[in-house]
Amino acid sequence: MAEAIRVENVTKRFGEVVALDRINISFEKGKIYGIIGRNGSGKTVLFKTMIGYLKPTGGRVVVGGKEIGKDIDFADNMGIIIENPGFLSRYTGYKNLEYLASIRKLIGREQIRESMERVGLDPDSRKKVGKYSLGMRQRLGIAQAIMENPDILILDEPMNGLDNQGVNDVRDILLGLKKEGKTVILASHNKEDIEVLCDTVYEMEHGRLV
Amino acid sequence: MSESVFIRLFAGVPSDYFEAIPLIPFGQWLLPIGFFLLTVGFYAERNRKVEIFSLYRYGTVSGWWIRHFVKRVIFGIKTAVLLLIIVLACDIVMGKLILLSAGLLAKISVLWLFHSISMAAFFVLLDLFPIRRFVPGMLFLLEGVTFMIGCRICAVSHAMYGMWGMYLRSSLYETGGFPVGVIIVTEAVLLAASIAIGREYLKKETDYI
Repeated sequence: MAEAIRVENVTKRFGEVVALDRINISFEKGKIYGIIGRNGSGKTVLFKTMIGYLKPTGGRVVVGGKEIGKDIDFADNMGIIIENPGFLSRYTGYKNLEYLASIRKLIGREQIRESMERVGLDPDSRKKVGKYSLGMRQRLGIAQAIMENPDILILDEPMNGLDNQGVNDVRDILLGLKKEGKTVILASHNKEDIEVLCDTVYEMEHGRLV
Repeated sequence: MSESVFIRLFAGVPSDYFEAIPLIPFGQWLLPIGFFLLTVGFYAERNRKVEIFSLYRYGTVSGWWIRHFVKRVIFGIKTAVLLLIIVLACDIVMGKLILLSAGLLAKISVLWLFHSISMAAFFVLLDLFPIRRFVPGMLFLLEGVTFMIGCRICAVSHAMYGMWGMYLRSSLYETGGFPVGVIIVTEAVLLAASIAIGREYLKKETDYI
């Protein structure tokens, strides 16, 4: 199967601290990958490096045949959730997504509405994001990640704060995306999520794959 | 003339004061600048929350930087104009508008606007660096300290940034002062330099978020 992302011998240091230590992984298209590991094991740093937010100290990340930081700064076919989703708290959920969609100008109102409905949010709601629960913010985070129909999804703890219904909804969405040929890479503390969803699981410890 | 709130807040500090550093007019001058920096800082902080989802959507770091810079400077212009309008409205309500001619109003507004634009540009640039939480304070100090230096040392007063937005310290005012054309061009050059320095800094930066 074709390769979506290749992480080649990637090392990331912050001063004396080695956050990633010679990581080698290849992610194929149309699969769901799980990354597990304790807090501070390097999962988020690895994700940020794959997106292009952090430049590796050594090694390289190749997305769709293009090297991040050399051929491109950021991949154009990605959707992401990293850390706790941050939004403009005085805007509604729809307005937030409209703002983000206005950057790439790939989609219109209908696709924004669809992505919100897909995660169980009402696009017509006048509720400001500042009044959202953690679960609703997480759903909105997933909606922004999937709304532009990206080929690759990088999701750091996407089930955080979701109730059982929310977790099931997100699992269904991710399995649906897999059927559409999308590549999903997710980090989760929940072993059940990993077992139910992932084709391949990697474990990280102290910045290394174990 | 001095009773107009618009003039008190935006025209600057007259040079014919007997005090070395005229604190009351200087405080009045700094008041709208404080509001300006507060508003621009609030906007910066608000947008930072969503940066993790927006940055990669620009495709390139330089593409992000240009749009980010322009958006923030435009917000600065809107804030500056809004402050001018609010204070002008105060003069209208208090019946002081009669003290202002259209020409005087335009001269004061243009100088203050250009000065605000350069301040907004410095703000966006400095906000890239790890010192970002100190930026409003640093710019406030830049304004205050350079004005005070200009007051104490006449030979360098025209070159002092803190003077550049003040109509009453400019060549447009009857007592004369810094050459307006040169200063407006200088502020435009500083704006362009801020964009260029930011772009070069980002090229060398390894961690964006």
